[in-house]
Amino acid sequence: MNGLLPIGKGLVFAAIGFILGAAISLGLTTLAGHPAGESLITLGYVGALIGWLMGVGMWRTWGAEWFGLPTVVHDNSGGWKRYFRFNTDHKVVGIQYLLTLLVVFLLAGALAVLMRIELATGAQDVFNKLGGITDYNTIMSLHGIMMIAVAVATLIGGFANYVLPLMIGARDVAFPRINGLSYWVVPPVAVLLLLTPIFGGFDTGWTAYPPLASKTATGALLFELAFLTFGVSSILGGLNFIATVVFLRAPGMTWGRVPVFVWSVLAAAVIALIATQWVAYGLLMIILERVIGMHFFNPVDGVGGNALLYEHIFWFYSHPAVYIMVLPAFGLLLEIMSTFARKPVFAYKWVVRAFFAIVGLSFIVWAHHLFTSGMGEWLHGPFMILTELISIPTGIVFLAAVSTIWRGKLRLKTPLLFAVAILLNFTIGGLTGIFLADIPTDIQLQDTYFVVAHFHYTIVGGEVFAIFAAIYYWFPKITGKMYNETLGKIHAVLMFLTFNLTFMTMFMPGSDGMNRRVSSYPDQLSDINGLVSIFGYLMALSFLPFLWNLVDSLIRGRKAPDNPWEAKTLEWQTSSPPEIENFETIPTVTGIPYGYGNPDIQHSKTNTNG
Amino acid sequence: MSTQSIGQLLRVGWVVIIALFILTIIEFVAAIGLSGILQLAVLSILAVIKGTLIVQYFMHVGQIRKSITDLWWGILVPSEVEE
Amino acid sequence: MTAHVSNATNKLQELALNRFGLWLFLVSDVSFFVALLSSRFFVYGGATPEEINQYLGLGLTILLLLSSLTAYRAEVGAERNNRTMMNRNLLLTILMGTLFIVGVGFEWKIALSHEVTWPSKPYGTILFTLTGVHATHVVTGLIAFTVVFFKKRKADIGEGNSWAVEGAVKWWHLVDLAWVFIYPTLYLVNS
Repeated sequence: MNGLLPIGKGLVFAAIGFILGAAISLGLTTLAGHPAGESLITLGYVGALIGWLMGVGMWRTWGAEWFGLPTVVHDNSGGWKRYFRFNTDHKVVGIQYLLTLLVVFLLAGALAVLMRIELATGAQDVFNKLGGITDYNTIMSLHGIMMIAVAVATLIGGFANYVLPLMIGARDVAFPRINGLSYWVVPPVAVLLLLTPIFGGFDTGWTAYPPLASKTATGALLFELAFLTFGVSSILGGLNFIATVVFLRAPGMTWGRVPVFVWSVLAAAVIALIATQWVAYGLLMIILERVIGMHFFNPVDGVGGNALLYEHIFWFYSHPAVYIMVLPAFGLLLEIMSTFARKPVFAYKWVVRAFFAIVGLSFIVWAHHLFTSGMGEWLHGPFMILTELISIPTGIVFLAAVSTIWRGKLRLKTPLLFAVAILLNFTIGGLTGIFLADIPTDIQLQDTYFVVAHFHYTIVGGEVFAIFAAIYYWFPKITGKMYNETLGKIHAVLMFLTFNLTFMTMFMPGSDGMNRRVSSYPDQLSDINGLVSIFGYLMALSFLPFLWNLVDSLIRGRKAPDNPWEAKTLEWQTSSPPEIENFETIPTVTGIPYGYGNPDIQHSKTNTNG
Repeated sequence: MSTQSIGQLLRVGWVVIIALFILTIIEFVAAIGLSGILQLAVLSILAVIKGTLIVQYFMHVGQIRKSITDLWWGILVPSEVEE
Repeated sequence: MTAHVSNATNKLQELALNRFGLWLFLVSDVSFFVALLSSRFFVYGGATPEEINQYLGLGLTILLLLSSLTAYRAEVGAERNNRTMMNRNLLLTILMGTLFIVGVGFEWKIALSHEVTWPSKPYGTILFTLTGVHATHVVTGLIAFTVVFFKKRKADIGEGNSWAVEGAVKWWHLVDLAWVFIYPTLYLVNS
């Protein structure tokens, strides 16, 4: 059991750190003559986080170096122990992210089922029966933030971490220790969130607007601290990927030979690097209001702030954030379509430009989340137009995807099924977004279940489906085993059907004005909500073939070849799973990675003399 | 930076710091003497100039110029041609 | 043997990579300061209370600019193998940085003594948040300089061996750059 020693040390150091932080807080607040209150938790948490990081291995492998002390070099060659300590191998970090986020995803999904049980009828009766352990609002808010975390981090922190260095022919990311750090702040985030019910829960939703966020129970403080911590992970991850793609491409990999998935991750990384600080500031403002009594959001003596400040700052991050979620999904979509249609990515150069046009435009549309907030009317028109403009580069990506499979020699494997599902789902998501971009309709639909259905179509239908596409696509590479193709197809079809049934139906109570975030609604919407709930339970069940397939294939899956999909990108030109250093010798890139059917185009050759 | 002599580098340091001091004094005077939008505009311009001096001469932003333009052109025209 | 895994093919590339990575981090931090600065006008409009000590503000600005010069000189000393210049200027920078923090503490003391600048009032909210966040960056920089001073005091320096100094100095220049924008926003705007 000494494989769990780093975790144990992390917990012990976290406890020590918490005590130190709380002591400092006690000292400061006593000096200032204020009650300690939530500052104990805040400073205690900062101490605990630092202690945790040091304990799980950051001190022994990194921190000690700063003080001239000897550091430990770990053997990364095998075994389960390497996943339970601070690790600098990108493949290990990727799996750490994936497994942690899978657990978070399943938990958040269970919370969604609880929500649907409550929402099956208009009466608020379910949570009362739970004896007041928690309430609907906290469950709803937790579902939201946990799924946001999964959506932001899985494709980048999980899959890109594992696959991107392989795809560009590198041995690791640019800053492996920072990579390890970005992962190890994630478990504290999950713990904080799961602790919120004990501290009174938080009923603000994941958007946590003031004044409620500044005044509600202490669970909200834990949420703020968790989200802030998660932001650190996101920023560092973005930094790492940008540096990796700029500096560590294999010899011969000119920009025109970079796979589209890599481009999409680069684009998402740029957003993560620059936009995340804004939500960090928003959260910091709420924390400062709670802990020190600052006044950002309400006027005092006729002078001062406005709750709208939070909304602007929050959405300045949170809108670009959805593109962190969706851009890697688009990139993966194109890779899979190319591989399984045996055709090059159509209009590659335009796809690259479209990705970065999306990045640019994503920063200037945020106020479409504020159309009903009371912000100045003169802002309405410009933001409506800009929001509609973003459909142009998105459309380019979709046209490229369709053109890539057009008249291809389709190999109907599970990843392709998910990819086609993404196309269909995101089209609906995108089209319904138009009603929300357009102000006259948005005024009616804002804060209704129409919005909820819209973003589930885009984020779940677009990105979560892409996560499953990624799981099936790269499962052979990562585990060295093949999954059961029949079960995979069953999962794909069932998930697609139940997902669409659930959320297509959901548009209807939405356009009838059913409010989101509230667990009661008018009686006449009872039948349709009951139907959505039933479809929702079916969707939850549709994950069962996937879970069975995952476990069963891990245990007794057939051994996977190096390149089961006969794909051209570099991760498939090494063993499954790859050796520690990724490649025996770094390949030299000699052409684009999409030379299907064209023997003159070779993506890479391996140098046999090193 | 690698091509200049230590004397040249130190001289650049002095020139820049004198410039920054002068700009700061101008800032202070502008704050007292002007008001409204004009004051805001002048203060903004002065701050940007000071910032540019620091970023260019103290932080040597030019050292990463090649990586940035390389990436920029790579996005605009992702070319297969090797250099 | 160090546990640090480097993926760069040579020392020159490693330096370029570290430099680029630090710039990325600095850019991300600039984004944070832009958010802070933009909220000033939202929360308190374009005026500055007269209780603010303008001479203290000017003094802090001059002090920080001077410390940027000594930091610059420390880096020159490291790059050009002039150990005395490096060590002396590192210590000077740490000294001035510490004085800056003392000055900010003084500023806070003054702010706490006038109701209009209390942290629970709008202007005080902005003052304490902006200077507090900035001070955190200053303190981090001072810690970095202290660690670098002790690490490099007798160690190899010169071109290609000075990354630790270069990195800490760049961080310090960011601190100075942020103050270049904080100073007029907090002290001088008086529409």
